[in-house]
Amino acid sequence: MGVRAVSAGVIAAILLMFLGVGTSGRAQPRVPEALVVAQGVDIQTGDPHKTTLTHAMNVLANIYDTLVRRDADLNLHPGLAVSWRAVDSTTWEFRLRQGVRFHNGEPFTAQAVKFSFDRMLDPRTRWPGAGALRLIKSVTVVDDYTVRFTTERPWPLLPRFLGYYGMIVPPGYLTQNGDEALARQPVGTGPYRFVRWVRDDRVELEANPAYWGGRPRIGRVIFRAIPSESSRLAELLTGSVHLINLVPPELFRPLQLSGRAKLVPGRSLSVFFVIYNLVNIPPSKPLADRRVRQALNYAVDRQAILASVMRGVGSPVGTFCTEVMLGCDTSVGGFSYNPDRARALLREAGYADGVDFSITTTSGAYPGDRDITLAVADQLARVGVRARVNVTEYGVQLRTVQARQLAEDGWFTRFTDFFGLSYIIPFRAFYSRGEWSLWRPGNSQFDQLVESADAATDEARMREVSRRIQAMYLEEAPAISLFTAPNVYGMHRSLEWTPRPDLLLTMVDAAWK
Amino acid sequence: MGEFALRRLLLSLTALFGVVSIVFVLLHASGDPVTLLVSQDATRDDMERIRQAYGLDQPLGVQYVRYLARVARGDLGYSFRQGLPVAELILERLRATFELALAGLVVAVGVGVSLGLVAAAWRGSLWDTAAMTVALLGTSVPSFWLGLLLIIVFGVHLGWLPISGYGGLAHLVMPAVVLGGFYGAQISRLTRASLLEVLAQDYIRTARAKGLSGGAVLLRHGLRNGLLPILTVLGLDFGRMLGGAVIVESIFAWPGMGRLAVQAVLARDFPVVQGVTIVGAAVFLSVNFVIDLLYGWVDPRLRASAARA
Repeated sequence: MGVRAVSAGVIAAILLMFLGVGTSGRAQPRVPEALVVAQGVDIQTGDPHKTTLTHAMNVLANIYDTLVRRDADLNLHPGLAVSWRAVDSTTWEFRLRQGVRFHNGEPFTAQAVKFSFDRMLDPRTRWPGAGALRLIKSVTVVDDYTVRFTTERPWPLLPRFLGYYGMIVPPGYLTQNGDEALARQPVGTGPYRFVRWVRDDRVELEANPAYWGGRPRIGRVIFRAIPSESSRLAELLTGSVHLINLVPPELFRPLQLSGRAKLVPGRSLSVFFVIYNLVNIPPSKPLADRRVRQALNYAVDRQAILASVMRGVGSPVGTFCTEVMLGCDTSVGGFSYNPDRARALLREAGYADGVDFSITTTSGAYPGDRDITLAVADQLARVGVRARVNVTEYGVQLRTVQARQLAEDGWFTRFTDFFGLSYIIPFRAFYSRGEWSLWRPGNSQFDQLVESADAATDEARMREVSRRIQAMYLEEAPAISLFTAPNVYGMHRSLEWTPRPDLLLTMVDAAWK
Repeated sequence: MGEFALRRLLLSLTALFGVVSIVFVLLHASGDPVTLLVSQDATRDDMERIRQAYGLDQPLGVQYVRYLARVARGDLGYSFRQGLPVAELILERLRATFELALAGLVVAVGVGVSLGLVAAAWRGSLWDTAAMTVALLGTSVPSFWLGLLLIIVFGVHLGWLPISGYGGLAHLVMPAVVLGGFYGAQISRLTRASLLEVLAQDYIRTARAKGLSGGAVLLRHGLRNGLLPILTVLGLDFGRMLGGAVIVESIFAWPGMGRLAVQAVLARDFPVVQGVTIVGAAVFLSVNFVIDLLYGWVDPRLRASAARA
């Protein structure tokens, strides 16, 4: 906190200087020679089948293509596949784009698709994302430009998953040069070609003139890794960096005030929660009572926290999904701020004297994490809940949750679903067998609903089940749902680019004004 | 001299072995690495696969022996996160780290010795007070604060220097000043003390009596002899700069080993954490080994006492 607070102070000082000098000073060239994008962390590898970390995905999405492309509204469009159809309930057929070449000149064919998916799903590849595509049983080549995916059970949502995962790699290049070559020197079919990578410093890309989607409007893109938030902002304000992502709440105002760059919020696929620890909870504990769990939800004024801690960016979340996610029914509503109802529910449950409640949170793992938790605790105190906050290290927190050994009554965290499907977060966080679920043994009816959403045979069915999961979630309240996590960018004033909910920094969509 | 060197070498190697072992134990004591190798969207199967693939399912003793054998061969393993040999990842950053540490050393010596010299030469004067005040500020101002201040003034306001990144000499100036400034401040106090001690010696009085000018006495007789303790401290400082520039590297986005280490820790990338620590310790020990040799060479009394010990 100390360092962050002081940094924010320094940023304010930077701005005062700017305002003092006036903005007429140094004129920046209207269109910089290369677009410089800065993130906090460098890519870890150029091999898309070795990582799922956002920072790497953000950059690699410029070099590699997927069969299905998603736009900034998460609608599906043809990518390396021009069309797809369900042949039967467990087979998808993709017709591939012809005449596409990898950056090394290798032609893109059905063989490359099969090779890529076989590689992704091969346990020896150790791709951390393989679990998401586990339903794919096999990929077969029908002809040079047709492939078929066979799934273990009906999987109507396969194309949606392929809009985020499933980057296609060049088989010839890999067989000839080995895995490490791709890690060092990525080769894809995407809008940008790899030029140079100075680790922990920059990745340089140039437009692929032969891109099937047309030559990108911006010729050169450099992704820089600048860990310090204040340095990133300072670079943006001087014009040596043109786009920064994940701007933390404390820098929203300074950035807006500077007049040198614009603040652009994007829609979010991330939700903040305080998830209750319900592992084998004895009936004598307050949280075992559903009314107490609901009461805490009524006690939190989400708008007030958004206004203060999050500087007005973000929107309250009724359940576990955001309006961008497919199947999220926003009409289901959520817990409104109602302290009287909270007190009444606590009384009804027999806790007129209030209850004790402890939350662990991280500090700096997510934007605003510690401050949000403190604000939540403060609001709980107003209805008589004696909330205690413990700050812990990110890794320690994940480990105790994973091992179901969380000592506290709840943990503050964020869940993101990059696929944009409403049932994914409950599947991971509230389904009793979910990797991060602390609702155990849980509720069998809820579990069944989540399973049937995952196994839904069509989208309409998934939407319907999803709505029922939401309703039941409100009833059972396994967590305090808070609001969407901010997805905020700082941009050069003449840069035009629409932020994506999946956070990818697809510069093929960017242009200079 | 040969025996002295051998003794020192053995001592360094023992220390290195200790470092290797402690690092291994500490990292595994912090829990199951697999949980943190995966993101929140990984399934249980993914985790099991990773555990087996990296041999993390083996007993700790087996993992330790295997690890020692590999390190002895100079194989620092593969990065979990990056899929590349750790040795390669470290080598890539070593250059940037050395550049920064060397530049920092130059700043530290330049600032430290000149401030100390001024303070000692005009002992008790306003100059002395001024120089020591600067030194006090230098040691007490946190480096992130000084770094951000420099960024504001020279990067944003004046626009003279690039704010961050790796490249030409201009990129090196601010990080070197921040890194070297801290050590320079300490060296200035040491220089002052050491000089004052030397200047009180009989031979200085003799030199003065001979009629040598104040400046000549100060530089030729005083500084030369007073530098000996500073040499030792510089060795240590250089070692620290090589390993401890994390904050400076973060503020100025300098692609050095410190950042590699921090990211590896955050990502629980065990092989990288281990590799960086071992290489860092090895570099530190080598620098000290060289300083020891230099010292023994400069001052024969040290060799004798080491042999007796």
